[in-house]
Amino acid sequence: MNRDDLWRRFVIVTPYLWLLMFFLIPFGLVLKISFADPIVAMPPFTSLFDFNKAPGESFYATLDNYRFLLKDDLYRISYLKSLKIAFFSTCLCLLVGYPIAYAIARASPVWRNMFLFLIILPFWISFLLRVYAWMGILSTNGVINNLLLSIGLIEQPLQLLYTDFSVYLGIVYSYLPFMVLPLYATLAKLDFDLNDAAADLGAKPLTVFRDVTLPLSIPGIISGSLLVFIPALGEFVIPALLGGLDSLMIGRTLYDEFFGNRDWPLASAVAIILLLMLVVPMMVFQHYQLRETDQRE
Amino acid sequence: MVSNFNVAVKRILALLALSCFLGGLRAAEEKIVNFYNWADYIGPTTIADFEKEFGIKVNYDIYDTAEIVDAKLMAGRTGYDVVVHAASYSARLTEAGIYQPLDKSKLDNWKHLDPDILRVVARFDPGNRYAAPYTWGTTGVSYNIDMLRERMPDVPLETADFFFKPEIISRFADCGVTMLDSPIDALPMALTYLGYPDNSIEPNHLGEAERLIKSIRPYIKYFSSAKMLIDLPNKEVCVAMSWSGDYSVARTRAREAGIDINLGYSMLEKGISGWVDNLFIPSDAPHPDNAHILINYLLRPEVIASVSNFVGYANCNRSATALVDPKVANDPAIYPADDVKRRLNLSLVYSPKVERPRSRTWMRVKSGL
Repeated sequence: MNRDDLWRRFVIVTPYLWLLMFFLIPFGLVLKISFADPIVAMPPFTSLFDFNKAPGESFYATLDNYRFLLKDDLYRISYLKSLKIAFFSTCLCLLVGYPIAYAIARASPVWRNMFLFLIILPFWISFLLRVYAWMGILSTNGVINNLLLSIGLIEQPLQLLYTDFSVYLGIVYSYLPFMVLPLYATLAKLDFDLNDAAADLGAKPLTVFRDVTLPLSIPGIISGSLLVFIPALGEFVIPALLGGLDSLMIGRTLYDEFFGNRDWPLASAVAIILLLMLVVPMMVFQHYQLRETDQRE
Repeated sequence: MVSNFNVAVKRILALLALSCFLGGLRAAEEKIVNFYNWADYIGPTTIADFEKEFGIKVNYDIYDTAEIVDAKLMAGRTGYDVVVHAASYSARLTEAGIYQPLDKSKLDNWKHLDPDILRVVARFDPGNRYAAPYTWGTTGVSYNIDMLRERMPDVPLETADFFFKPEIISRFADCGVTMLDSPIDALPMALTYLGYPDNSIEPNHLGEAERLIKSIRPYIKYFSSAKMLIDLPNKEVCVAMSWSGDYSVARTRAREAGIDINLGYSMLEKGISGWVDNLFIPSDAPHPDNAHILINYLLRPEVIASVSNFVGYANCNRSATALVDPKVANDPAIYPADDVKRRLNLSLVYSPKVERPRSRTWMRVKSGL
């Protein structure tokens, strides 16, 4: 085997090893726990194989946790609530992020770097701290309410914090850069001569955008949306800090199950279902995308 | 190529073996103790004084929810030598073999402990074998007196009706009412109000408790065990179900921020719910000897008195009370009358499947399903 071959193998194997180590093995462990019964022990669940028992009885697995999940309304409601919040947050991020990314892509190189720097700047401050800052801004005695009260626009402070509104705001604010950056990467690569050509042929600016820019930027829209949607779906910190009583998202439910009730098997089952909700649509999407590329070729 | 690789592997293995051996040697004599405690739960010089006196380095680590400790201990091999944890959890954890029994011959300051508190803890730790009581308190309601009086001059602060009667608590909805996000604190309180055993998991008892809390839920701003510590001093909240110490923490924070605020605390007389935090040694603690030295040090009256002075919680040390700052020791919210100790109900944490009806009830209460 020569050096090049070795190198090639190494390059191919590395991402797979990474996936194996940091995705498949942990996933397997969680899957395994989801089939166990919770007990009071260290670790707090029954093991799948017990080699101290007779060969016929050494294997133990149960579907109780999944049965319980399907039976209890609580989980269905939290999954749906999470889906709703993640979906609308993604749409809002797209609506806000697209013009920003477009403007950056069309700016002169000097400004472009400046804008990109500004987009990344908030990451230099801890995420948790920024969410806490929003609590200060939105609270009843916070910046916004004090400002509105002092200019006489409102007489009673508005309830901004601990509402769905504040959850959406927190998620859109926190994940906006993840939408802007991939969109920018796609838009910056676009050949703007195409826009000029379309305009020369008589297309109005809106038509140019609808028929040329938008279709060409779809890869950016998709990757940006996935980067926002996936973490937003399992988000725990933002609904916990900014959300009100009704912001029962699945991240919160999972936390309660794991820490509050110390029921690791049930928490694992919740996590597995959450993962399936993410992975299945992505695989379907990938499948269609592959077919499309095949057809084009 | 292959032989080179083998040589490399052998060298790495040899190094690993050597480091394990050295590690093992060092562990026997290392002057270290790993201490896991609640955030803001120790005096400013307690650790430094200990290190100076005994020449043992303390690796001090903190947590902010009891559930995290529980999860870590259950997973095992935490590396901690001394862990502060509530008594309610201990029955379940000792049963699982998480803790090791204390060697009382190494704890000559044990004699200072309050026998009343030891009796309470013994309900969860028969014979007081595993838990060395650290601090204790009650569960009740912290409130902003001025904001309450403004809305209801004759508010019945000392009765549980104040919190559980919709027609009373609704009058404070606009200034903010919060509840602890903790089924083992909130549900026992509701159950005793209804006249049921505080740790009941009978479906019909829990069902009634659920209806009771749901009847006041429209007036509750949020369920949290920490947020009200910021929101009480900021006047974002005026009634917060909380632990007794939270009230003094909130008051200190308000004072630090220069906010003029008049905070009070009520135990809602009717079967008093409380808690006791204890020092435990995990069964896999790497430095059990040093752990005993640290615990014995923390049982010293003058040491634990300075902890109480700083954190504003009552300690479980009978000999220390006289040494505690009178401002803390004479505050009935922090150091209640002696009979309170005897009437203290501690919540019991069950195994997950038994606990399920209670945690389910709590999730339904929180989400309003």
